[in-house]
Amino acid sequence: MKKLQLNTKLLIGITLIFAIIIVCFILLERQFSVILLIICCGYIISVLFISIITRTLSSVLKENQKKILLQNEEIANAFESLQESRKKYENLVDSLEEEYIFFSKSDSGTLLSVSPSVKTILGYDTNEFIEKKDSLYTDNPVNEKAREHEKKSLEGIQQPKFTVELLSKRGKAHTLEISEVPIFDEDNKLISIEGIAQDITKGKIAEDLIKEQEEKYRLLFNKASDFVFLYAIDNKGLPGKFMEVNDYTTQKLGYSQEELVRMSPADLTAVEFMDDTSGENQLKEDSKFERIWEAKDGTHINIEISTHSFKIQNRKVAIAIARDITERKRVEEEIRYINEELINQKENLEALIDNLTITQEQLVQSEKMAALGQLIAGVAHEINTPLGAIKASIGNLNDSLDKALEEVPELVTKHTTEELKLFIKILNLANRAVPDVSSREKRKYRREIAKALSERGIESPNIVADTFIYLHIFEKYNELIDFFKDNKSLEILNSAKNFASIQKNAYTIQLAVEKATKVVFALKKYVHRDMEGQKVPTDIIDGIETVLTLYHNQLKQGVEVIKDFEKLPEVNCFQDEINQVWTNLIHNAIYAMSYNGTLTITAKNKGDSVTISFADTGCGIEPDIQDKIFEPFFTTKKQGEGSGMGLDIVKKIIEKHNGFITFKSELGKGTEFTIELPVK
Amino acid sequence: MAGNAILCVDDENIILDSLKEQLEKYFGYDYLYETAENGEEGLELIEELLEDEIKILIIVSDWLMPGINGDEFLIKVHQKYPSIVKIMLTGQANEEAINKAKKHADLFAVINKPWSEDELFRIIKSGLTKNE
Repeated sequence: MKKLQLNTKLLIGITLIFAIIIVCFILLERQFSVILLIICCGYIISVLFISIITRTLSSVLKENQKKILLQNEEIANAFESLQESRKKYENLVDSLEEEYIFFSKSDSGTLLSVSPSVKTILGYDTNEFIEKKDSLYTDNPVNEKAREHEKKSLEGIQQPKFTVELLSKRGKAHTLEISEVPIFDEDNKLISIEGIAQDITKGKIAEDLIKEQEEKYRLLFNKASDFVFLYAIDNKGLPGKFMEVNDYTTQKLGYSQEELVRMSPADLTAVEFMDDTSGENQLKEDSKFERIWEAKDGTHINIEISTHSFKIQNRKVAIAIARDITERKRVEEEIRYINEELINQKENLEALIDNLTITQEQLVQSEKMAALGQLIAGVAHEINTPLGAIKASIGNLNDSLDKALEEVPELVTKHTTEELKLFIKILNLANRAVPDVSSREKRKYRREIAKALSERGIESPNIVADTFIYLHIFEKYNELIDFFKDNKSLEILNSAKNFASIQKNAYTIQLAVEKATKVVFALKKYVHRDMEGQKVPTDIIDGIETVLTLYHNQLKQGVEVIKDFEKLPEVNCFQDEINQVWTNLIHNAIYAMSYNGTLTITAKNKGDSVTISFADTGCGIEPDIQDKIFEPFFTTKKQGEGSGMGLDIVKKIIEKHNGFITFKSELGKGTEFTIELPVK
Repeated sequence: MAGNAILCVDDENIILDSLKEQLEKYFGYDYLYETAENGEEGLELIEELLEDEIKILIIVSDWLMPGINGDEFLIKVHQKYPSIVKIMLTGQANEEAINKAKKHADLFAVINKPWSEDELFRIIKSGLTKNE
């Protein structure tokens, strides 16, 4: 726009000048016109010159104006950032106010000013603080040192940071870290001291806490009664040298700290146990293993090590706790030994039990034999009696046979038919079987017969009557008596007696053999031992009868046996053992009754089981010993009379058969033992 | 009815019968041969026979019998009739009983069952000699 104006002006000017010149040339003289022309040309040139200069200056000015604008912008930016920094610093100062107090002191040490932050930090107003400051020092020894520093500061000597402890308005001790700077004038004279105080109470507490904790851990580390140590772990992951060891480690091992840091945990492993390196490799990992270490003096220590590896400043290290388990090992060894002992003892005991079982079996057997021994006396009698009868009868039989044979011819030739008829009649009446007639009754008959004979005038009626009795002719003597008239009939009677004697003695022998056989058979049954050792179906009643047969001679002295037997099923039994039960109970009953009384044996069939009871009318069992009777070796008998094993064995046998034995007893009235046996 | 008797006591009839037959066979009708099945009956019989004026010379008794045993029986007999010769005939010799009888019943002899005729006769004979 300005350019345009300038050019326009210039054009107007030139046009104007040329117009004047033309005018001049027309109106004026030449000279004047020349002058005027020169003036006009000059003007034009100057106008042109000025125009050019103006133009140049204008562009420079424009340039400068631009620059200024830019600078203005920069300044504005700088101002803005300055504003920001200011804010920041203001914030900073604000935050510093939490921890910092700024103060200045005079060259004499008087506190001149203090920043308001003293209120925030210590709770005092500035003036209050200035006034009271000297009285706020606590008696903490750090204040002594602080005063020295302050003094030296006043002497113009720059002091390092120092701490003071001051009481806050609330009476709490605050630790302040002080930095003081002495200020000098141009003549190097101290003017004032500027200072900053930082409240490091919190930091100190934390520091103290760390210190305290470190102290605790150090104590723990050193006073632990375990080996506690740190050791390096090399590149291969194997244990390297000890780095730190606790007091216990040095004490126990006898190596100093200095010695140990030149050693590795592996160096401690006792030489003779070096083979056992299995755990060594585990050292690189967290692990737990056992070792035997050798102390400096050569003592071996069993240890159990727990290690934990970790990194400190990129170095792999491990911390380990090792416990002396020598005592534990010893105890373990002892326990192992005791355990072995126990196992041995157990084995011994088992062997003993086996032995005992055998012994018990032997005992059962020997009790059986003992009972048999007692029985044998009676049994001998039981056998010898029939044997005696047999022996006597054989003698008698032989003699009678001889006599009879002698008499046969005489009988046939000498006697009349009548007499022979008598002979036959006598033999017919004679009863060879032993009749159920007591000797008392026989004597009665004999008297009766003798009287009748005497009435008929027969000689020696007693002897003749005796012959009648011998021939077992009792009630029927009347049928014969009429035939006795003379001595001849007596001869015939005697002849008949000889013949009858043969029969009679033969029959006695038969009876005796039966008796003996019964006893022998019972004996055989009694001593029978089931070699298989297995239960067999057993007739309980038969067993009881067998025992009763063997005890017959003892029972017959005065014991009445009442048998109340139901029909029983066969019971699975160890035959020889179960018979011992009956023997024992029958024997005890006889003993309790002193061979006199009633023994009632009852057998009952209960389907799944059978019960057999033995009730005696004996002395009964004293109440205070009733709970002892099944104990082994318990006996009321005199020494030598009983082993005391009887009822113990009975009980064991019954239990072996899964049965029960119970008893009830009343003093003076008797005892009843009841046995229940399962059938299967 | 007067006379001398030999008394046999045993609970077994087969013994009494065969024994009596043996004695009769050997000693004939010189003596009465009486029998009892147990001690009590024996004692009763002795009384009875005495009433009949029959003198008992010898008692042959078993030991093991119902009721009172042979030794006790013989002791009782001995207390009343010390002159009777007492013989024990037993299937099993209980030493204690025999010693007791020897001591308290003046036991003359012990014969074991089974016995031999000869032994029996010899002992009875000497017993009779002693008593007559």
